[in-house]
Amino acid sequence: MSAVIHSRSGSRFFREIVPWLLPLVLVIAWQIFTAAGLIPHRVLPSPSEVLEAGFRLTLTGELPLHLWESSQRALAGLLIGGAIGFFFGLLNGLFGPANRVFDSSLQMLRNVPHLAMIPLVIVWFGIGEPAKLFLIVIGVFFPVYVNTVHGIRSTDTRLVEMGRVYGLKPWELLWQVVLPSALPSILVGVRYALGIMWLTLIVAETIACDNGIGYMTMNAREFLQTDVVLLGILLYALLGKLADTITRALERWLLRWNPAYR
Amino acid sequence: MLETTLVDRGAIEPASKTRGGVDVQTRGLNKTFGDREVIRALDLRLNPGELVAVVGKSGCGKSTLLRLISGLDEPSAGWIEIAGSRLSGLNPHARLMFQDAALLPWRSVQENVALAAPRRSRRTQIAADALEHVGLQDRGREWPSVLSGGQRQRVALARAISSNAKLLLLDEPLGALDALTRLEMQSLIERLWLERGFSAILVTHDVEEAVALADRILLMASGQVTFETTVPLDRPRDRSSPEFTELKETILERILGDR
Repeated sequence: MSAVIHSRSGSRFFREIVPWLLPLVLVIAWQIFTAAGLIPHRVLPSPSEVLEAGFRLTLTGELPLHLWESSQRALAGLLIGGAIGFFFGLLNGLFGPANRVFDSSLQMLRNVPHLAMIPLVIVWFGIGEPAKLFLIVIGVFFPVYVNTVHGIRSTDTRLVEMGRVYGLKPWELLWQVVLPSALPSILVGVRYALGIMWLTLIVAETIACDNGIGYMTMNAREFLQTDVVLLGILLYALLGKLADTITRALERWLLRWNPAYR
Repeated sequence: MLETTLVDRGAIEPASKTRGGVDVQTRGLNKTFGDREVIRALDLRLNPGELVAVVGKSGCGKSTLLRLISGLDEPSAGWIEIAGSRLSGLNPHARLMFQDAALLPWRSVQENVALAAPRRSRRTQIAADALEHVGLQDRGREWPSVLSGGQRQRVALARAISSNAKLLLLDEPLGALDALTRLEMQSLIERLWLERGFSAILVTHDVEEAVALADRILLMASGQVTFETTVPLDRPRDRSSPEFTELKETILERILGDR
């Protein structure tokens, strides 16, 4: 997505490299400060130590296991919650009566912070896998739902009428006109949902769990392994960034017809 | 005279079996929105292959008339006959063209045109032919967003002809174009109409456009036809001829005189 006002400038290489400069400077500063002993080791171990912890845990097989568990959990929650959100969004966006039945109740539920449900969720599901999945599903549901409804509602009626005049069947109208037109909005919902997905995952895994990155960091805290705690935090940042990059690439490809995404 | 033109062009026209237009009649047509009567007891007749222009001030019901004939809106009273049978639901023969081209931005130019081609036909080939007719044969792979306004309307025209429309409803299709492009598009519309022989209703603000293209001109005011004239000029029409100017002046005076 190019900025709206500023035209693009600089070479492609320059544009690719710029976003990484600030994180790089921060890491270098961090290394210098810790190596010089300006920050106590207990408070903040140096980047190289964090990296070392990463290597160590990878070799023992601990890190890949936790990473796998967390990703699986996040993805399953995203798929289930996203699918339900998309379904209700489609239903309520297309059919007025359905919207009248469901929307106000859903809007009411939306205003309950889903993390406030944790005590209830523990009572219902215990501290097993379903509890975590449930939390992610609820968290992911709403942004996908709201943006799908919005996207479908803002379809240009001109295009729908054109499709009808040219004899498109209802399902063709949906597939050729309504869904593509709602797609930019739906993808915004997905990106937003990704943020909530990681947030929920972290909270769920730190509260009650015996695997996953959240568990790994909480466990490390008990043994005062600050390097592993930092490793966990950095992993969340990287995973979040990775998910966002994938969605952006998806956006650029799916919306390549739209000059704003080229 | 029209017939001979059609026969002459028959050789370069593969879709000749589907050429021709339908006749349209409205009987006591009425359309109200709330308590506002937009169309009032309208009786009009469009002969097969005829090109009728409807002129009038904005808000006189011209666009509503087209929406009723296309079947997008239902009349409040009265009915419409297409080729002798009463219209209910969408009009299968009609193709509507708006001021903006209404192309699907997420489909390539060629896919947009192919969308309208009949099912179970060689859609890609038909679309390519139609694009060639409007002079855009090498833009088929591009996105609509890179085309100019005039080019987009050409694509919309190509889409209309690729569906073998027998009735073209043109709702100020050239209203948003610059003067030069408009002239070009007018002769393109005339050429396609002569080749294909569809019936057409052209709603326009531009009296000159109406006189240049139409067989007959209807003047609408507050939901009724208040004036009607045939255009007895030979095609292609010479816009600088005294007859052309005179007819244009007469119609303009009628429009301005209507209260």
